[in-house]
Amino acid sequence: MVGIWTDITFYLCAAIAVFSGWRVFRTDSMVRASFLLLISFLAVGVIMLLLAAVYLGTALFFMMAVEMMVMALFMVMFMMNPAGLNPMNMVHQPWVAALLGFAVFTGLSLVAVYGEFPANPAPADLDPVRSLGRELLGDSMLVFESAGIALLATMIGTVVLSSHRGRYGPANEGSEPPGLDPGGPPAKSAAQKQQQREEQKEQEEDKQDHDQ
Amino acid sequence: MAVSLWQRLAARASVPVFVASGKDEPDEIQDMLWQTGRIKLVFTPRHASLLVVTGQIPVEQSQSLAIIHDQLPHPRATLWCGGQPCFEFIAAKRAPSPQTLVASAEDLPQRIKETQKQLLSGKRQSEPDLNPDRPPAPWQGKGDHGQGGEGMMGGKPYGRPMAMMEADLRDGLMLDALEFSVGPFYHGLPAGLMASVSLQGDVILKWQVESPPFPTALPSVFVRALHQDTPLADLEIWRVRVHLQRLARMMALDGLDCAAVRTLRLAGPLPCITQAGLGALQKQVGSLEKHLRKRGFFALGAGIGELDAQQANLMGGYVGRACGMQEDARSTSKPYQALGFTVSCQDKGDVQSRRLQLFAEVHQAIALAAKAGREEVMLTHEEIETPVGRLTKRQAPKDHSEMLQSLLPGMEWREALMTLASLPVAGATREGGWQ
Amino acid sequence: MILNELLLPIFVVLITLILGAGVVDYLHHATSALGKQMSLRRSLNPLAPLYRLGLALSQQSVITEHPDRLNLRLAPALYFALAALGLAVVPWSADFIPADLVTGMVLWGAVEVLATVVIFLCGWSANAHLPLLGAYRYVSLGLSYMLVSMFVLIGVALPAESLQLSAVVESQREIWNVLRQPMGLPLFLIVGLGLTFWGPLDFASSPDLDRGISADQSGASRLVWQLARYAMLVAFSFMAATVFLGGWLGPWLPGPLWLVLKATLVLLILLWMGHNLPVMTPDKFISVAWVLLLPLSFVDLIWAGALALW
Repeated sequence: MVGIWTDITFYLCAAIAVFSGWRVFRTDSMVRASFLLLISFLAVGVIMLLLAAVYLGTALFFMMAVEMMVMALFMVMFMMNPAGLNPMNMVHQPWVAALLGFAVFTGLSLVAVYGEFPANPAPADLDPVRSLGRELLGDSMLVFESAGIALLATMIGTVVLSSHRGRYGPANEGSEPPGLDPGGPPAKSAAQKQQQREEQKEQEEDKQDHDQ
Repeated sequence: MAVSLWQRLAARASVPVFVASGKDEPDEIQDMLWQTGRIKLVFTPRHASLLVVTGQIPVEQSQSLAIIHDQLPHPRATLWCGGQPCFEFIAAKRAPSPQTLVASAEDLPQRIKETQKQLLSGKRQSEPDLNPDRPPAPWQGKGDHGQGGEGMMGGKPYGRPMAMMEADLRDGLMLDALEFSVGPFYHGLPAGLMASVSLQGDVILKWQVESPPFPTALPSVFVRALHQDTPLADLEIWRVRVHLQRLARMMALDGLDCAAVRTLRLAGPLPCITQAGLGALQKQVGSLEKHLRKRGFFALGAGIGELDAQQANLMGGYVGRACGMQEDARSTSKPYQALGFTVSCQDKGDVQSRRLQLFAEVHQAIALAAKAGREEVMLTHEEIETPVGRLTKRQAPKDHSEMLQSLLPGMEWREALMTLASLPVAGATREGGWQ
Repeated sequence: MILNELLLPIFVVLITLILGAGVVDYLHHATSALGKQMSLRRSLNPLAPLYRLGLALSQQSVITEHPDRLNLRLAPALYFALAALGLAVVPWSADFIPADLVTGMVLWGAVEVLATVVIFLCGWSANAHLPLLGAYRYVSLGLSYMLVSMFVLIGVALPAESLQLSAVVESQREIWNVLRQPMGLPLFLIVGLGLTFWGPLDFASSPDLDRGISADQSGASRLVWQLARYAMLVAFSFMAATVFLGGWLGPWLPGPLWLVLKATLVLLILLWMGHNLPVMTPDKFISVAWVLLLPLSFVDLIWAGALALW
């Protein structure tokens, strides 16, 4: 009884994952694409739950949700108007991508079909969450904790840098990057360089006009 | 049409109303509706079932009003109070809808409830759209994916250009800008102010004033004091009212609806504050201020919307005093000096100090009114300090919307609206026109 | 068997959310009317939520120009579904738990994050300025309190030595977490305000944006969004009552009743904050979240860890 339901859930989730993964490349909006990818990942998360990877499956839900949300946020930032609701072409170099995708698929399928997997059944009373916790906070504790603290420090650093206080002094007072040499003139931003180039161009054109 | 159960239930709910204020209209009506039970003022026309137009809408803005009208969900109706309907210009060819003119503001709550009942029971037809319901710029899909242009982007599929990058004012990061226009009936702006705005995220890049706010009507008592003897207590009581109304609007913008309504209650409906009630009012304002201080109403404005000396000087009035300028027309008049008037000031020119200054002036004005009332002090002076700036025989408080163009860019949207609410941007007219 | 194990839990969760949403609506408007000193009789009328329901259902549901229709329709349903998912892991008594997941706490974390996605979708899909701005602002600020939420929840899991909510409740038999970790509940309430964009953290539908993501909703579509938001408030209250106020534990009364009482208390605190605290400005909130709340949540976690070792 339970077995049938597990099978049905598996096939359903697998179908959802594949279908929404395919739609990622067929949709015409960045926001839709990132959330379709999220749906695909969520379906994979459910499959992981079925595989008794309870913690990893649930953690996948919120990790992927944050990731896709941040991705969509950046898209809106860069494409505020009209935030990806104007249709646009979502694919680059489709042929290269198709070939690569086919190659990877073939490789993985070959591994799945012809690979020999170790027959190492887990004990029936194994508590996956507890054993994962023992692994993370046992022998590998130093690695995981240092990675975690480094990530957190990075996050805090990013927020400090991007806050109102700005990268180089109060942000709303107009910020200037530091000089390239100590005490030298401030390095120019891309926008300023662009402006300078345009001014030079105009000057040259003026000169040409003048010469003529 | 049979009346469904839902409609019968709906007839007993509070009526959601969107108010569009027109010219020469003191916000009295809006404030009155705010305090009335069974009527709910809403911020956006989509949530309303009735549109209440107060005062006269200029012909230039009637198209904007028509757009607001069409945004109301069916069933909807329009009530006109204190002005003539202006939809004939637009809907001349369409079937005229029944026009509801409300003669006096006192009738308005009753008429609102009646109209809502009629709408829900089907006795009154919902008003049809004034503008044709079609996209302002039709679909022009072209390109491989209908993206409206060559390559990945470009073109104007819905009549809106794909935005191009603009450098952030704050750190030079190139991000997309969002351009749109707000007003003239946006609830967070003074009535009539229309601006085209360019936003990057929440940060305002550009604020271009398209049309200045409608001048507000100055209470006639201030104008009278220019020419003839006027009880000084009346002037100060009106100052209390106008300041409290301004504070209430700021609270509503901060989501403090309860405190806002309580503040309006204190300002009272017209024949408002009596001499006898001044002592009690002083106490109530004091406790309101304490309540707000504890909940961070003042601290929220710290560092927001700081004016420099020149801008503060231009604005004058309480804005100048919040910036530390000892300027007050009252200090040059003898009756005020006799009452022991001293100018009170704040030191920073931000929203916080303007809020504190308004409360300080309310307290001061109540004390002055009480004292002047007891001694029956009369006043005529060629310079009157009104709640919105200085008034002389030749000059009324001026419109300051031009200043916004340099003041607002660089602020976040919320900060900009808080700043706007704390400034007397609109110019003033005498009740019934200045000239 | 199917009836008891499958249908009853689903039924209980849905009924709690729908009835709870009605109660939230009633309490919200009643407390607001009391704060405005309106007439007592009208503000306490128990039928008022029904009147508002009637009004919403007799209004037209306006559609904006060229919206993303699928997501516009889906967003409220998904938000409600997330509330149901969150409520499903809450234990009602020792033996009635709709979904007793070993990783209940992690699932709740996922619900919080997925809610951000759904709220963003709701604002984005309307294809209008104000909803988009509300959604955008909400997401960019939402990530600041998400971290606080994680640390607070880990702190609660420490004494229970489990991520399972029934174990968390069991660990509070001697002393509730609200006393054991005094900073936990206040921090978690702030998370709740953010999750339901309520009161001081109402960035998605703040008054300065003309109600932001709700600015272009009307009639039935506004009703379902409102319903989902109230349901999320209910789910959050139950979760807060479970992890900090000892859940169904309590003398004399039956367990489920205790749970409901405690959840109502949390709900009332949230509503009070909504009426009495001003909406924060985004810039100030970012500072507060990273400079004050995040370090406080560290202290809370260290405190919880030290207690668990001791």
